[in-house]
Amino acid sequence: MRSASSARALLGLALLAAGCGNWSNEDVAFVEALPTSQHLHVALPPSAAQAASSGTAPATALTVTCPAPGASQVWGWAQPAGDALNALVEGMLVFVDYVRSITPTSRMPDERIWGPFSDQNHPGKQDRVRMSRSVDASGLPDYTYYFEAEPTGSGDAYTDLLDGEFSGSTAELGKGTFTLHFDALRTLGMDDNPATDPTGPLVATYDRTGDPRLIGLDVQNGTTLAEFNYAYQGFANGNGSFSYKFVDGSGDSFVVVASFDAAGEGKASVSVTLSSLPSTPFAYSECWDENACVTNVSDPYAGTIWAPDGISHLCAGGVCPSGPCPDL
Amino acid sequence: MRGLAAAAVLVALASRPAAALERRFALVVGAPDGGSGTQALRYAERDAQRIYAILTRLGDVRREDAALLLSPGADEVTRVLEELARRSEAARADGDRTLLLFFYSGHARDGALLLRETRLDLARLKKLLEEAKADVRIAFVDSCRSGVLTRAKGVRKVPSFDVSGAGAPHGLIFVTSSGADEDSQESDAIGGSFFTHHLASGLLGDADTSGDGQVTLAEAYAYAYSRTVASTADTAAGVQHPAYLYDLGGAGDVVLTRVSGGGALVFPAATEGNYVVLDGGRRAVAEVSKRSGAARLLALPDGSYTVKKRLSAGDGLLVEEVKLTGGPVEIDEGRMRRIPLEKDPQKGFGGARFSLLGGAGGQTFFGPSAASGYFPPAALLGAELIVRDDLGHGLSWGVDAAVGGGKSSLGLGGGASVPIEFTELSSGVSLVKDLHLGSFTFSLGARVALLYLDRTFPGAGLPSQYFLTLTPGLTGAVSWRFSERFSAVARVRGQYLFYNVDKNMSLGYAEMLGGVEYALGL
Repeated sequence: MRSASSARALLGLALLAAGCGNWSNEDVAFVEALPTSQHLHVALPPSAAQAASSGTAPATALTVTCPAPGASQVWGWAQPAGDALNALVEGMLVFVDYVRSITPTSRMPDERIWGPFSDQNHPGKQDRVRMSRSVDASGLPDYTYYFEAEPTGSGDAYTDLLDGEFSGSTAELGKGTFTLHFDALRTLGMDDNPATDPTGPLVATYDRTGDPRLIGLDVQNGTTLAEFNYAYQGFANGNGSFSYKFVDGSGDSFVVVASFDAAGEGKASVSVTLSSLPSTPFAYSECWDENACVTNVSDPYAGTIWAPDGISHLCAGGVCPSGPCPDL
Repeated sequence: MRGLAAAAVLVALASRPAAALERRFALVVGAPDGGSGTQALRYAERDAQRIYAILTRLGDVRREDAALLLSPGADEVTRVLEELARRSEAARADGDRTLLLFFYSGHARDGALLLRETRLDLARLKKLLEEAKADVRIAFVDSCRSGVLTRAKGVRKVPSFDVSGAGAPHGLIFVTSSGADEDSQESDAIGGSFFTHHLASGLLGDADTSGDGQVTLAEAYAYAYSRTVASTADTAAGVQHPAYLYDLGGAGDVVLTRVSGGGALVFPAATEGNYVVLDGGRRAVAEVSKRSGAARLLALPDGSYTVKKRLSAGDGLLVEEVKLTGGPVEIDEGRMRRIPLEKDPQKGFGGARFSLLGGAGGQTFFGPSAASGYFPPAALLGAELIVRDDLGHGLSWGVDAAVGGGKSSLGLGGGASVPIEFTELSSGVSLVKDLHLGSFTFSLGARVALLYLDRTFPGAGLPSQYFLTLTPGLTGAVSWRFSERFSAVARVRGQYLFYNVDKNMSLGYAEMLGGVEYALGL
């Protein structure tokens, strides 16, 4: 017994001498390569919210009553679109944030694995995250990662829910892309919003290596919008631009390309293709001031018998506003 | 033989009435550092502290009239002695009779006391005492070859005290711990020099052969002489003979201590043998060597003591723990426990000294481990309990603890970084060898510590990380004692750490600490 106790004591000392713990710089490097919702946040000037609220919400301290033809509808579309995208991204990356907050389960020189662990929000499912790293020719690390899930006890039958790749030292300063597979979520019964979430994959791309920082989101087979493609550029000085294309439920297609500055004034061109006239695209452009009030409209169809107020409906009696338009 | 004869004379004088002295001044010097070419004495300061405590507690020396100098220079000794002489002169002018007592424990060579790198010629010391305006001047010099004092010119040798004259005693007396060609020896077992130890034992009461509750100069000398000769008879350095030289006139002896009326160990008349009294730190504070027939009283301050007696058969000890609380406590051999010799409480504890060290400093890792952000520099606050001389002469051990931390950032390449806040706790034990050079002590040894590190990443949403390991290493320190109890300490440690989370790395780090050490239980 005495020798056994001594052996245990020696073993304990040896283990202590060898050290124990999770003090790992590499763990930090791995998880810092994962995107966060902060990295993919779409930030718009306050006037976008003001434009979005005009006509649909009571006047607020921010709201300015615009003279005819009123607030910019195109600029007003930007805020809910941005909010929806931020919410979507946040929802996607909740799991990523969780993984960032825990210690890896196993470490290999260029690989980390978290889990498997029970999914607290989806009983009966267990999750696993795998990340691997390689170094490109320029010496920059490239990461690939997989967020996987399976029914508990199914025996290594993991399904890929989210995967991505990233190049750079940290997500803060790198570029990457990731894909969320809504179809896989639905198959595993892990989609918390099946009525509104897209049925196709959501692909996010981001590039934070320079100015502007770029964010792109592409949703296929959406439920509220059949197809959505969004690109956003955010400059360090607060200026930005975005473009998005969507097809609404009636099949009409909209392509919007807009630019704005930090004060909130901006301009946009809109191309509309009606499902009833698929071969005839219509286009107009408009400008708005820092209060989101329309100042200038260029609408070729204004005053015509087909559209007396123009496609934009901003040229009453065929007369379009001809005020200032920011040079962006 | 001359010393024995003188002791006999002094003992004979002890029967004469001792005249009271009204005002006493004392300068007590402990000087372990004799400068270059000498080896530091271990117990010179403790010797001085013991004598100082006895004189101020039992010797009618008021604290304001006593000076204790530890590791002083010659100028300081001279200055304080002259100051006390002036005060004695002033007291005499007010009508007081005065006694000026000088005690020295330290090095001496070539006719001078060695005080660090300075010298105080014995001739100069004699002259100072001769010229001091005090009715009685007594000098105890515990140093090698101090007997040269008794051969110097300027002081008259007489065969005995001249007690036939009228009036109280007056004059000058030198008592030395050794002959002119002898070494004065220290003992780890008793934790002091032989002479001072026996002088102290005598002053505490064991020298009171008359049993009147007073220890006179004659009694103290005779006791210290006989006990020192006996104790050193078998030492490698050879027997040591205390000596004296005096020029004392007047009637009566000089009472040095009064041992009755306070806390005391009482050895009843029936007890017989050699007893050693140890204090709470297991250091010898007194010895009693008695025969049956008369009680003996040892006046000690309140505290806990261990009394031991070696059995004549040599196969064991009698031991008793005693607590003094202001009154006499009688030693009863019937209550004493019998223990084997190998469990002698005095062995191994003769010089154990406890001290506490507190300080601040920093920790830095060497090489790429620091540059890569694994272990950034940290600030530290530390404390250590040190037990000096506990494992032998100059061998000490200590237990330490430190807490520290700092802020830094972890670089991830490309200019990106993550902020870090980290804390660390460490606790270690060390075994060191001390080398005393005067008031400086140099220490070098080994240490093993348990190191716990913890770090967080503020605002990054990352989990905290920790690392726990044993780290062996070396430790070194330099301390400089600047007062009786306080020393300034600079300490450096070099430690080895094996890191094995991301990859296996053998790392080294240093810890620097500056602080103050406080000596306990002097």
